[in-house]
Amino acid sequence: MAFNLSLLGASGGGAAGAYDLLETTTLTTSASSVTFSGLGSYSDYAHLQIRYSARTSGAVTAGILIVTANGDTGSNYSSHELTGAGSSVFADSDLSRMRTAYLIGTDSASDSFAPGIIDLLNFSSADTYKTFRSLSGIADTGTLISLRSGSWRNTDSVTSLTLVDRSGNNFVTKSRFSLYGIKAA
Amino acid sequence: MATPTYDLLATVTITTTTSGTTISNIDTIGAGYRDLVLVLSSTDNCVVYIRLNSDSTVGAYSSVNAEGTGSATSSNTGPNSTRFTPTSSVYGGGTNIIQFFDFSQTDKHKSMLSRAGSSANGVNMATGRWANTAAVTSITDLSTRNAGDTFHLYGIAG
Repeated sequence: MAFNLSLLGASGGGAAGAYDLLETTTLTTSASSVTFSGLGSYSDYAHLQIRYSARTSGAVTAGILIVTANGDTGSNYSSHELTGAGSSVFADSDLSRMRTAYLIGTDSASDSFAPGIIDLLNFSSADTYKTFRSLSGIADTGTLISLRSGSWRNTDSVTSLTLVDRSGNNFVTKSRFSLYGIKAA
Repeated sequence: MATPTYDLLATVTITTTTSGTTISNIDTIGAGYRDLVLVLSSTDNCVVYIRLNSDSTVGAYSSVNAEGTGSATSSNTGPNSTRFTPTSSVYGGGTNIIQFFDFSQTDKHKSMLSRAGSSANGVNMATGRWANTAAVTSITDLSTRNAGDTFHLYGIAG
């Protein structure tokens, strides 16, 4: 059964302003990091979400995306993952970094980019550690699907988020990172 | 400047048993959006077989999933496929939410993430890739859908 949905309209949806696009960075040259700064101006949102489609310059099948908050590069983070690797399911942890999601590397097809969704919860609160969860994966030379969570052990409001490749490689051209704000009910 | 998004683009409600459901004209209804989200609410089967732009080429799709069925976990790949099949053993009534990234970009393969949950027997997460840089103009679920099943398609700016 086929439906011609141009007849059904292209708008509607939930309450306007409940989920807003705040910023998008699409790389036109490779970059070692991507930073969303000035997040204090988004304090009328309860949560932030990053949607990305990204690739690392590393000659690997899978890279790891690390997120730091407020420029804190100390070992003040923790993260856990549950990952399906095609023939097995495994769990892992990192008690010093936010290993937030997967990236695809140059051992994969040249037009292949890894998708991911990262939620940062209660980012502007000043009385709780900041927690995240994510879903990301790659389906190419490497095959991984991963559900993760973690925290920044700090009660400060998050004013900036920096994304890097754990191995120090660059994000390549065409990698895209979009930041969204989600309001509380 | 904040841009409200996550807009409903289309709703399909299945009224009689249907084999193959296509949402077309996505280049038109999805104009201006970066990502798509397809939400299936099913009465007795949350399994989907996704095909984009009716491309049935062998090897055009690849995927990997991970599932939990209450007593066991498993992970499977779907290489060299003619469709994206997120779930292998999670079926029954439930919800399947499939995210399509950069669906209109013509310089990337199209990647997908999905999460499914069934009241009958488990939970699933998966990712898939359509090895094609063409803009997505149609999404087809090849599975058999029953009366009462619904699809909602949302657009997300980016």
